[in-house]
Amino acid sequence: MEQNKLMIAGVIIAVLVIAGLAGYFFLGTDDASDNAKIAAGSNAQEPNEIAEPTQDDISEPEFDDSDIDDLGSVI
Amino acid sequence: MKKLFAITILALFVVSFIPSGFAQEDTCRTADDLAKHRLDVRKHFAELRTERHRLGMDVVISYASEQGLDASGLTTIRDNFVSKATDIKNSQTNEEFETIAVELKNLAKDFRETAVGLISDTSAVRTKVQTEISNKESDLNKLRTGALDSEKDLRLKRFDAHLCRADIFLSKLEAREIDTASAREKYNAISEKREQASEAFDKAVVACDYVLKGCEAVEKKEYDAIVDSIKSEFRDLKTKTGEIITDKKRELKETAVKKVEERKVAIRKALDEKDKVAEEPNGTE
Repeated sequence: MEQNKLMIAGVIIAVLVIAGLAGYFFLGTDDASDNAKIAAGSNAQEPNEIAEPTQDDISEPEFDDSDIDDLGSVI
Repeated sequence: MKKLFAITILALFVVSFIPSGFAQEDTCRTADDLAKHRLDVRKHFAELRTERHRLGMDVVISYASEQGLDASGLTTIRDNFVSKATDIKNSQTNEEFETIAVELKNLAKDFRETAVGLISDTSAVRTKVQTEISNKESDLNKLRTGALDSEKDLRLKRFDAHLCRADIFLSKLEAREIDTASAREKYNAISEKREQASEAFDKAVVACDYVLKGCEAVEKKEYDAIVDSIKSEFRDLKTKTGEIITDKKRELKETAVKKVEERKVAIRKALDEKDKVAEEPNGTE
């Protein structure tokens, strides 16, 4: 009896894991999709098209300071 | 039987983690990742600046009290300042961060104006403030190092993300058998500047006493020059890639026109031959 319960639980978990894996491979994840969008740039191309490079494809990185403005002297 | 199920389930769990490990290798860091990282770096700098300022405020309040002056106004402003300094550390968005940063700046100004109105010998207090900051150098230095390290990390990640996107774009062209040799040369030149920029950043951090913003040291200027050259190289890479694509388009157009002309000639030839056959006397029966 106990063995049957364990088997049913095992089968359910195995099905869930396989479904998860299938979903990952066939549907992709949001992160993967976002990364692909950025990597492809705004003008993602069809196989036989040649699009002009845009700012999204190749652009210069920004190296601006993350620092906040100076607060000035205390007194 | 039990063992078999346990092993199967365990194996499936392990396998399920494999794809996520590989997934990150082929993609570039996203703009969202970088924006989130930048907010963290900004918080580091805010902590450094507010903590340094708070130390100075405490010295001014103590001095005013020692002189028998009413420091309650200064204390209230200092408490508000400390409270806002905590808020900025917990800010969730850039907008929230910026709003609190303005409030902190206004509180710092209120404190300064109140202190100047209250204390006649400001130079004596300034010296005490400097002494206190020197005494707390070690604690402040930890915050400074943390902020500058995370700033460097962010800058290198930005560099890597842009280079990664350029690489993917060039690979797409190469997959279509487009010659990208000149662009690849430029790409390689940019990637070699990563180490150079990293080293120059470290030298600037050593040369500048406090933060890099507003630092006039030669090493900081040298770092800025490398940054400018990297930006310029990226612009050149963009131009170069544009030229490659324009040339390829022209080539494809010329090939297409040539094919049409050849087809025209072939059709004309076929028609001429057909006319010739039609003009010849009817069959040799």
